[in-house]
Amino acid sequence: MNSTKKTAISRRSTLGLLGGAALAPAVLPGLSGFAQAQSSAPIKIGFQLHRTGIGAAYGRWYERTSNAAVARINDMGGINGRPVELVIEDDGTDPKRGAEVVEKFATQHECDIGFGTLFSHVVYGSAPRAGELKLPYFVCSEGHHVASGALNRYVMQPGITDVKSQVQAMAPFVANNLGKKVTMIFPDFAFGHDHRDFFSAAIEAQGGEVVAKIAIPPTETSFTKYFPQIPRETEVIYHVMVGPAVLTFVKEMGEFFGPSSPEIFGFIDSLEAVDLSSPGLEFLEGTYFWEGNPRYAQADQTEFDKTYRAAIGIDENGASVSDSADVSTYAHMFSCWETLNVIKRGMEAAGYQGPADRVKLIEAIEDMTDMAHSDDHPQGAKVFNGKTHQVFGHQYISQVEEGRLNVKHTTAIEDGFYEDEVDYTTQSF
Amino acid sequence: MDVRHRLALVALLLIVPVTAWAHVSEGALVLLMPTGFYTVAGVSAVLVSVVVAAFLTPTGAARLFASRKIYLPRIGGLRFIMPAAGLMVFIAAFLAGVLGEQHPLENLMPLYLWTLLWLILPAVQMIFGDVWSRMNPWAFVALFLKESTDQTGKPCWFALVFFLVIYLFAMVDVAPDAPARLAVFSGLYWLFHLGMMLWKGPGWLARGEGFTVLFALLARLSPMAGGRIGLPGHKLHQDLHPRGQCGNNPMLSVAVFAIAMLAAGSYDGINETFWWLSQIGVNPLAFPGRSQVVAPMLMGFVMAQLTLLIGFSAICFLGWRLASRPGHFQDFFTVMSLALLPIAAGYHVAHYLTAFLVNGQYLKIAVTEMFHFSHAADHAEVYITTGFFNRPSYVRDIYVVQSCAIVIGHMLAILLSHSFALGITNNRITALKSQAPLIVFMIGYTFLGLWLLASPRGV
Repeated sequence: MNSTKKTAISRRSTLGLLGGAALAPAVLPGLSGFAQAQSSAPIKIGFQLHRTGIGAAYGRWYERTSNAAVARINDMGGINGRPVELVIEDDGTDPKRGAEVVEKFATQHECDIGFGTLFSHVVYGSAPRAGELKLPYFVCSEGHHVASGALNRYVMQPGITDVKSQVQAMAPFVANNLGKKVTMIFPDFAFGHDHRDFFSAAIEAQGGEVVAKIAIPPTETSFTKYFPQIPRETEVIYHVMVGPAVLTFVKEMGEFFGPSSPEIFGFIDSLEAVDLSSPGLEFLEGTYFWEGNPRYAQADQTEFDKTYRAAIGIDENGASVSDSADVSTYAHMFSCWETLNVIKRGMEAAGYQGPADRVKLIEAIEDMTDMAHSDDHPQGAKVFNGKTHQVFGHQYISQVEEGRLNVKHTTAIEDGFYEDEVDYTTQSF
Repeated sequence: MDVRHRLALVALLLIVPVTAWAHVSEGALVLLMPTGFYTVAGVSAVLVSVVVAAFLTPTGAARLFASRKIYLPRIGGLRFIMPAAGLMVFIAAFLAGVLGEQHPLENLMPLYLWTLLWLILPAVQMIFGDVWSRMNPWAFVALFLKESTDQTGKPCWFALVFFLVIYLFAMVDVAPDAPARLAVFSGLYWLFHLGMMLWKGPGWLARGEGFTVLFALLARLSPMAGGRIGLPGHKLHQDLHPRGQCGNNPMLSVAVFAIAMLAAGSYDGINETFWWLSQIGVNPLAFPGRSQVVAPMLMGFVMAQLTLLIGFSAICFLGWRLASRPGHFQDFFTVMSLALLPIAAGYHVAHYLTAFLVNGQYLKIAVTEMFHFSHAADHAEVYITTGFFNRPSYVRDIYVVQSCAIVIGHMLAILLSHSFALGITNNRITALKSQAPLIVFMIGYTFLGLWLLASPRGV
C-alpha cells in the first residue's frame, strides 16, 4: 500500500526538537543555489495532505510523489529562480479541518497557493474557503466537482482527468471490443451513481445499452445473491466495487460464472494499492481495467515513466523499491507530480513574484491548452480547458494477463471531452 | 466556518456526487479467511477454561495463582535515572510538539502519547509490571516530595474522569494527533497534576491521574508483578484473595474503572465496524470525516459505558443472588469487576496491534534519528511500509495473534473470577452458582471480541 520517504523536511521534527525552528532553513533542499532571483525566498506551496483519516493510505503516496516532484523542480533551478517549499498540513481527510488548513495556508503560513487535496468531500469542504481567501487551490481529486461548476474560479484541476471524462472514454472500447449489452454492478452511493449515470449515457451514445443496473448496499459483504440478477443476454459486466469486501466480490463472481463468464470490465479504483496476487484475484485473469496510469511498466515504457518511477522509488510492478508488497496508488498519484509542474509553468508564464500575482497565475493557467507528453507529464499528453478549469487526457485500458496489467488500449484525449458545464473565466476574482 | 457555510456544505454534500476512495487493506484478506472456524475454536478454548474453573477448589485456585519471588539485581542510581529519563522524554516530546515539524505521524509529541504511552506502554506494563510509576513525567518531582496526607484507600473517581476524557479525546476529537495542539493539552494536563501533587502529595497520581491508575491496573496482570513470578494475574489474585478471604477488598471506584476500561476498549472496536457506522447513518465506504460524526461517536461512547456498567452490575447481582447472597454485594461486585481486567488487556492488544505495526515504524525512525549524530543518514531513503497488510500469510498471523489475545484474556478472566468466587464463598458449588451468569457473559464477550476482529471496518 503505502510508503513515506523520509526527506529533509521530516528531519526537521528532530531538529526542531533539538534546537528550535531557527535551524530549519539549513536543511531545506537546495536553498543555496537560488540567490540570482529577485527574491531568494522560497515559493511556498501549501500541501493539504490526507496524512491521517480514511485517506491516509493515499496520502502517504501523494506525499512521496509531491516531495519527489518538488525535489526535481528545485534541482532544475526552482520557479522563476526561487526554490519551492512544500508546507504540509494534515487535514485528517476531514472537510472541516480542510477549510481550516486552507485558512492556515493563506493567513498563517503565507503560502502562495494551496495544492494536493484528494478526497472529494474534503475538496467540497475546503474549496469555498480558498475562494473567499483568494488562494489559488489546485486539487488532485479526479472528482467532477471542478468541471461541474460547483466550485469557484480559484479552484483548478490541471493534473488529472475527472471521473466523468474517464468513464465516458471507456464506452467506445467497451462497445467495440467487449460487447454492447452491459450489466453494471456498483456500490449504492454517490461514487457508484456517478459511474452508473456517466457510463449509461456514454454507452448509449456508442449504440450499446445497460441491460441491468445492480446497486449493492455499501455495507454488503457477500454478493452471491446479486449475481442471479445479471440478465442472460449480458455481454459485459462493468463493476466498480470498493471497500474491504472487494476481494470477496471478485472471488464470488468468479465462482458464480466459472470458466464461461461474460467479458468483465472494472475500474482500478477497486484495487488501487492492492497486490494483484492477493487471493481471490486469480478470477480477474483475462478481465479488463481502467487505469489512470499503468501500474506495471509496459514493454514500450517511455523514458518519462522511467524517470518518474525512479524519482519516487517505484519498481516496474508499481510497488515501493523497498518492499515489493507495498503497492502504490499508481493510477492516481501522478496527479501531484503533473499538477506541480503545471503550477511551475503557470508561475513562469505569469512572471509570478508573490501573492499579489495570484490572479495572474490563474489567468496564465486558464490560457494553457496543450501539455506535451514529457518528464513534466509522464502519464501522457493533456489538454487543459481554461473555462472549466479541468484537464483532459488519455486513459489506459489494461487486461490482466498472468497476474499483471498489460495495456491493450489507450483512449484518445477527445474520447473524454464533453460539453462545458461552466465557464469560470466569466466569474470575477 | 459560519452557519451559512455549514449549510451550504451540507447541501453540496447531499446533492453533488463524490468520489469513493475506500481501499482494500488487510480487512479484505481477513474477510476471505475462515474466521467462523477461528471463532468457534476460540470460544471452545474459553469453554475449556470454564470446565477447569468448575473443578477448582479454594486450594487449587491458590496453587494456580501461586507465585515465586524473583531476585533482581539492584542497580544503583536507577531510582533517580528512570524518573529523570521519564521527565526528559516528556519535555522533549512537548518541545517537539510546539516547535517541531507538525507531522502527526513523525512528530515526537503524538509518537510519545499515542504510540509509546497509548499503544506500547500498556503491553509493557502487562508483561514487565509497573514501569510507569518510575518513568512517568511526574515521578522525578515526586522524589523530592513527602506524602503530606495518607492517600491509600482513597477512591480514584478523579482518575476515572480523566481516563474517560483522554479516551474520548483519542476517539472523538477532530485532530487528536495535531502535534502543537496535543503538546499544549499535554502540557496543561502535566501542570495540573503537578500542582495537585504538590498540594496533595505524590500519592495524588494513584488516585487522581488517569494514566497512572490505568497502567497500575494493567501492571497487576503482569506475570512479574510485585517482584514475583507466576500466572498472569497472580498479583491481582494475591491482593484480593489472601488466605481465601476477601480481606483486602478493592474500592468501588477501582472496580468501576476496570469496567470503564473494558467498555472503552470495546467501543473503540465497535465504532469502526460497518455495523455501527450504518447504525449512525454513515456510509462505511465513504466516511465523512471525524468532524461530521462527533455527536454520534460521543453518544456511542457514553452508551457503551452505561450499558456495560449497568449490564455487568445486573449480571453480578444475579450471580450473587444465585449463590444465596454471600457477603456484601458491593464486595462481590468489586472483585468480579477486577476480573474483567484481562479481557480489557486482551482487547487492547488485539485492537492496537495493526496500528502498532505501522506507527511503531515511525517511532523507531524518530528514536534512531534522535540518537543518530552522523549526518550521513540525512539523505538516506527510509521508507515506512504497510506492504505486510497485502501479504495473506502476514495478515493471517496478525489475526491469529489478535484472536489469541482475546481468547487468553477471557480464559484468565474466567479463572480469576472463579477463584475470587471461591474466596468469597469457600464452597465449590456455591462459587459455581455465583459464576453461572458471569460465564455466560464472558463467553458472549469472547464472541464479541472475535466478531470485531472478523468484521469489515470502515474508518
